Amino acid sequence: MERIPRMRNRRHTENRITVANLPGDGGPNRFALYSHMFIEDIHSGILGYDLSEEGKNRRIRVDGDERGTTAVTALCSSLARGYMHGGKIVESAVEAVALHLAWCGEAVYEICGIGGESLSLAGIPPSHLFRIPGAFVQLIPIQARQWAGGRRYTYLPARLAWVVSVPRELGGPRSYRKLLNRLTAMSASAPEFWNRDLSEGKFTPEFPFGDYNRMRTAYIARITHRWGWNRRDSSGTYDTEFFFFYRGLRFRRSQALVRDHIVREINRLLARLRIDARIQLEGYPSPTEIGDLMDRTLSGSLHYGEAWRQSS
Amino acid sequence: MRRQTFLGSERLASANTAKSIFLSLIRVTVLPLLLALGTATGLLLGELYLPDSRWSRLLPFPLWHLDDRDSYASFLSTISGIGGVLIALYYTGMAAVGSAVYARAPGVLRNLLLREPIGKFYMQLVAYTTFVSLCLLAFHAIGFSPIRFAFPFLILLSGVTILSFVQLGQQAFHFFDPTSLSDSLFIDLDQCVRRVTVAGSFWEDNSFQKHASQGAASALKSLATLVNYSASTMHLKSDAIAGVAVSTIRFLYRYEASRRLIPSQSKWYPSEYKHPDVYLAGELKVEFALRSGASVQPEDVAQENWIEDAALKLVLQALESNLREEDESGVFKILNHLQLYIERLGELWEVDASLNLASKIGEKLQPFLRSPQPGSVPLPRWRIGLAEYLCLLPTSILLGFVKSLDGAPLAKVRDSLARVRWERPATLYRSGFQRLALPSLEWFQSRMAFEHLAEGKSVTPNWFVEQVLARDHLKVLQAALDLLLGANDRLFGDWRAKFEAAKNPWAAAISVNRQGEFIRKTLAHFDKFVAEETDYENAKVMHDLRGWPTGKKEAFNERIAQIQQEYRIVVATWARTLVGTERPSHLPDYGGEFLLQTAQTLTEAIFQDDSETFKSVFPSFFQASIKEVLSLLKMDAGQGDREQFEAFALATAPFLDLVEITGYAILASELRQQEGPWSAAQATWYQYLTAEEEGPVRVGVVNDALKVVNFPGTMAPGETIRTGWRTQALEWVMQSVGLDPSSAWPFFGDGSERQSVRHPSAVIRAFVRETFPGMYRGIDVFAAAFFLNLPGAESPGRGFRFSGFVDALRRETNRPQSEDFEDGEDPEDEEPTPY
Repeated sequence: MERIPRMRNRRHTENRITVANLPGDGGPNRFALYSHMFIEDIHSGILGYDLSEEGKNRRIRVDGDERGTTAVTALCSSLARGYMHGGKIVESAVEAVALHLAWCGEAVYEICGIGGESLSLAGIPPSHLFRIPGAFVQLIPIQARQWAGGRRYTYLPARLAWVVSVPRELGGPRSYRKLLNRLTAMSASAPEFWNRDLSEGKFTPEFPFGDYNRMRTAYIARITHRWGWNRRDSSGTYDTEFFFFYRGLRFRRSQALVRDHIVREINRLLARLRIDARIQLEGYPSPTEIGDLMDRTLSGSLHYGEAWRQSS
Repeated sequence: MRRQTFLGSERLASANTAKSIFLSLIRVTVLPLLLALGTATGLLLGELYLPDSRWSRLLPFPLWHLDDRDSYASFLSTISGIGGVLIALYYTGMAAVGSAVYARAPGVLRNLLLREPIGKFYMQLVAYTTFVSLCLLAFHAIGFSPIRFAFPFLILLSGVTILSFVQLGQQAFHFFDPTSLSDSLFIDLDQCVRRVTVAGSFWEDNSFQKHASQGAASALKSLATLVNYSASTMHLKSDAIAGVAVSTIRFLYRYEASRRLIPSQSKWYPSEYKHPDVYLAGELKVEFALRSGASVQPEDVAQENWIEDAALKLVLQALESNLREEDESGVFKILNHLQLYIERLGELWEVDASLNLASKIGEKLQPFLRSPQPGSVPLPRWRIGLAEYLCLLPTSILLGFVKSLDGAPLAKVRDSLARVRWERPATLYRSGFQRLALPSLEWFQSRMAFEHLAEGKSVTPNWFVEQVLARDHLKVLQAALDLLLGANDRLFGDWRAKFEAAKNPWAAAISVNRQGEFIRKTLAHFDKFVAEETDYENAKVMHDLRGWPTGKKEAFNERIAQIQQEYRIVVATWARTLVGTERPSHLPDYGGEFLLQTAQTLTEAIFQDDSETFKSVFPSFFQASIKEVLSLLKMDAGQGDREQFEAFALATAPFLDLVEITGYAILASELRQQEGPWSAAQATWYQYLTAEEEGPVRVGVVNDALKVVNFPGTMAPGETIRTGWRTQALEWVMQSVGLDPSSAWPFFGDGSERQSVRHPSAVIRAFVRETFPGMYRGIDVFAAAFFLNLPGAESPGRGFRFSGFVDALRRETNRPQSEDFEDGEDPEDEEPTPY
């Protein structure tokens, strides 16, 4: 995999207002089974996979003059911060934003280098960040102040911030974070009392695990039904094969919504920064197209395997 | 003092016991007591509060004036007295029956006597009438006026109780036969079944299902006790036990209809544990097994046929008992009902179960179909009837199965599916689906419920469900046909072998005969199966649906052809075995029938160029034909010349069939210019006619037989059938050499009587040249092309019919083919076949 060169505009991020890392802050606890799987699934396939024929024809095109194109590349490389989507900078930037969104429900970036030659974006940790009218305030915990020049807080005017949130069609950022918390709570394979008993050597066979697990799975399916997540569970224990693929298609539609939303937000940022260039998705199925595939699948006129292939 | 204390404590203990008994009695009687009290109170309230005038207007008879209070009291006390007497008499009668019949019977049977439903209800009615009278008497005693409505009410009740006592008394004599008590067991069984079907309340509740299952198991256990007791009691061994068996089969018949209303995972079906493979058990089970240190939890496997297994065991026991007792009517009564039941199973697509049952019935009947030792009493006729009944069972299954094929099964599935409401599981069972569809429907139901929880609606569309159901039906349909075709080996083949081992050739012949009927019916209804399969195929939306079976029409066609082929060989073999065997007059002549069928098989094999069939069947046919001729010749023909000639002519019929078919075999080999069927036939004929000692005699017999068939102005026996073959043979040869078959019939063709053909064989050319009116026969070909070349064979005299073909063949052999064709267009350079 080609490595994306590190940002040449690093000096600007060194002059950033907010603090990039807050030592000791592990962020939200998202390492439970289902919340972690959900986050992974949202961002990992957001731009599909290049393995299929369709994958080779997909890309994100940058439209603009040379100066604008260069500015877009610089901006995106600051977002990508590594080697992600096959070395393609703009795609990597979109994936990086998607990852940020998947973890936090809202991705806030500081725009660095305004007024200078080149611009860059620096991610802000979501914890201890508060929105006030016209600005963001980042409270710096005591243990991190020595790394922040002794500051107790930072103040970021809204004009220097770029915010991308989970789209409203998918519930918005607050609802999304609530969903992640519920998934975390539901990730235990057995109720707490049973686990406690088991650790004490007591096994209670009367407990109806089949029913418990079924209800737990139904609950997860219920809370994620707007997204259409299928828990990667193709075993058919609780659902039909059709339902599994149908949910999968809906999840792809949700990913397409997020993808379109991120691209739209980047273009709005470019306009805001007066960069004369735009990025455009090419070859990716739109949410409407995936919706059509779902309708055709429901009516039986299209095999859901084929719909799955076309939506990837 | 101590003694008094002890006695006091004993009295106290006794009083406590009496108290608990009294309380128990109150508990037992509280309901009927309240009912009777309530009735009496109701009557009293009616008297007090209903206005007089209105009733008087409605019924203007002077019935409602009762001034004599003493008569009223006497009436009530009389009814109470009669009630008491009836109760006493009934239990006296029961005690008499019980001590006479049931003293040594198992306790279960005594319980049955007490639980006998009619007597039980009658006693409740009598007790109720008696106690209502007493209550009314009590009301009267404390000062209430006579109650007018009490009269019609009590008159009616007491009338029913007194008059029905006569019937009950007569019925009491039936109790000397314990099997008459089995009705209460079937009532119990029906109730238990009803409780677990969707028609019952709490049908989904596991506890209720288990309770019903235990109740049914208990009833079946009682039934088993009854059957065992009857089988060991002299006067119950046959008729009585047959009655129980018939009732059991009727219950099973009803039960089979109810089974589609019972969930397949119901606790009605007792379960067995089955331990799964660890890697196939599912992650959750494995995880808990690892965490708890125990084994992976086993799965419950329902024993779906437990009722049938238990009940049919009793039926077969009853059948065996009747067979041992040689009770013909009992045996056939049971077999009749078993046949109906088996047909019903076929109709419900339970083909495997029905074939298994047929096989079990066969096992029970086999020992009674053994041929007796030579010199002992021959088997009674009805025993041979057992073989008939047994061998009809597969056909019954087939016909039952065919009855269910209505030609538009997919529409039926759609209609039923349209009636299903996934949120109401009872609709799954009430929608008219067959039982085979239940596992898939239940599978979908739980998933649809999951979809409701997750999405608030069903997502999986009906077409998806429909194609899965169609797949299930298709699989069972194909499996059913597969099993039915397998019955040829599994049942008929097995029975035939066992009858043969039991040295009962006639039972084996019945089996062969019925197998032929079974095959013919299978063929006749095969189109229905194909139509059904095609219709189900229309439901397939997804080309790669897992488990969708491939169409088996072609495979089944091939299999049927193979079965037919094997059957033909079996028929020919049994023709050889049976012909000439002494036959009881009450049996059909299976040997003769099989011989004729084999002749038909051979002609078809020749006309269809099927040398393999011909070669495998001809040797048996040859031997059987000769045996049949010899057998017919042994029959007493009378003394006169004419009678003897007619007897000889009749006896030659099978032989002439053989000769005719041999002629066709010669034609076939000549036509194809290869060895073909004639090579097999020729060796057999040579061996027969050139034997060192018997050869000349046999040639002489053939000479005589040929004269019989060629005698001018006579019609040899069997000519009607042979004429049909000849018509086919002529058309077959003409078509084979490229001539229009209709030209063989100048009335319908171009009027030409002489045909010319290019063919290297003179036999073929001679055969087709002159075809009307003296159509050449297989006999002519046999004589001209084979027989007359043998030493001792006599040339036909002038006027004999086959001399025509002998001359024609000679002419054709000596005549170059080019004569037939003008301007020398005949390019045939081959030499004619010398004869």
